[in-house]
Amino acid sequence: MDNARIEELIQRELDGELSVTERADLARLLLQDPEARRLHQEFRNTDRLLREIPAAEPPPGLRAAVLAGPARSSRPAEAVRRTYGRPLYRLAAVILGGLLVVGIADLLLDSDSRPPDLQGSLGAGSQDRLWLRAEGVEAGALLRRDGQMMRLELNVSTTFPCEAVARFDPATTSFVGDAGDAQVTAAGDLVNARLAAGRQVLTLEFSGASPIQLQLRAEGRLLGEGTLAVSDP
Amino acid sequence: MSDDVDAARVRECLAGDPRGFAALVEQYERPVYNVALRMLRNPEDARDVSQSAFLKAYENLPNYDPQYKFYSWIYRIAINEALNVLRVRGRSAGPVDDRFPEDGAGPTELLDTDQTREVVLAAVGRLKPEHRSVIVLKYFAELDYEDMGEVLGIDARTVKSRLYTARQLLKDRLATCGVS
Repeated sequence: MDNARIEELIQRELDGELSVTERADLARLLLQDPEARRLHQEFRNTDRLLREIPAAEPPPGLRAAVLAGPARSSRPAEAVRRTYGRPLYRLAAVILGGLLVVGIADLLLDSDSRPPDLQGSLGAGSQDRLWLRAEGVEAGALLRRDGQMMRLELNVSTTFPCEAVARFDPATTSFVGDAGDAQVTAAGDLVNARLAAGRQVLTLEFSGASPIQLQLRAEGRLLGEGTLAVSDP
Repeated sequence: MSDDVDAARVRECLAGDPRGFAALVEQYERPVYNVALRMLRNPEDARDVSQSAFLKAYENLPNYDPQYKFYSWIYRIAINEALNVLRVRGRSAGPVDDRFPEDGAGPTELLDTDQTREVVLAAVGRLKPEHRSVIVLKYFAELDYEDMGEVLGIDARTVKSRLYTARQLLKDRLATCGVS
């Protein structure tokens, strides 16, 4: 039996996943093969060393510092009611967001009315996705909901550096993190991602509720913008 | 702690009772801090990440869906906050407190328990973030595959694959140091 199969059996043993038959297979292998015994010993030692690391105590004052934050702000329920809490307002926000997308798309797709410094055109396939196509740049954006989280997936192919700017309502939405090669900075209600020339795939993760406004810029010029929305959890 | 209890505490908090959030912080302060600490290997950064994670959770409690586990949610926020710190750190300076011996430095047979733990933690700290996060969630948050997948937003099969790779890398590194 090859080492990969032996290692898989050992790893599954560590996680308590072996069937009775597989356990017997592993036992037989360990009896027959000194290399298997060495691997088994090393994996078990690694597992033991990790399990033996004791939990660290949080620093004194952490809990007080955490609780001081909410004490200074309004309670979360009030914050939401103040903004998008009522279903009617929420619906209105989504409709307005959609109208904004359609309006901007119409404006940008009409080449006669395009401002001279505007490089691209923006289209909306639906509320949860946008696309941009212009000379030297193509971009697609998709907002997905994943439980409590929302993922904004941005796929950009560009011949020049540009930046993606996401804006959200901090009362209902929070930026959680990003994945990809872009340089991402976040402050307040803005997330800014610097995209190098080439093919860039970027994921921005938010918790909370949509809509999220998205702009694509290059050298200070607006290439396109739109609003993305997904249904709330 | 049962998910029902967590959901009840969230409801208390949303109803304006601060004791609900205080109870959640008391329950998860230690594990969240440990996840952050093992991801970052720096107590000050871990403290900042823990504080930020709880604050973000508080701000977004109205959007919390009790059908999901609260601890998966708070771990996810903490892991993402830690990854952001690592990303910023990666752009500016090298890893903090990286005392892992260079490869080929020779066996360290005479290490005492504390030194051994330091070597193990340093080896964890040298893993790529995607591998480090599964080790941290497995060994320091004691989550199963399904919960790890929920935290990391990946399926259980990918969790297993990353965990196997991470454990193998650790085994090899520790063997190089004569620790494993």
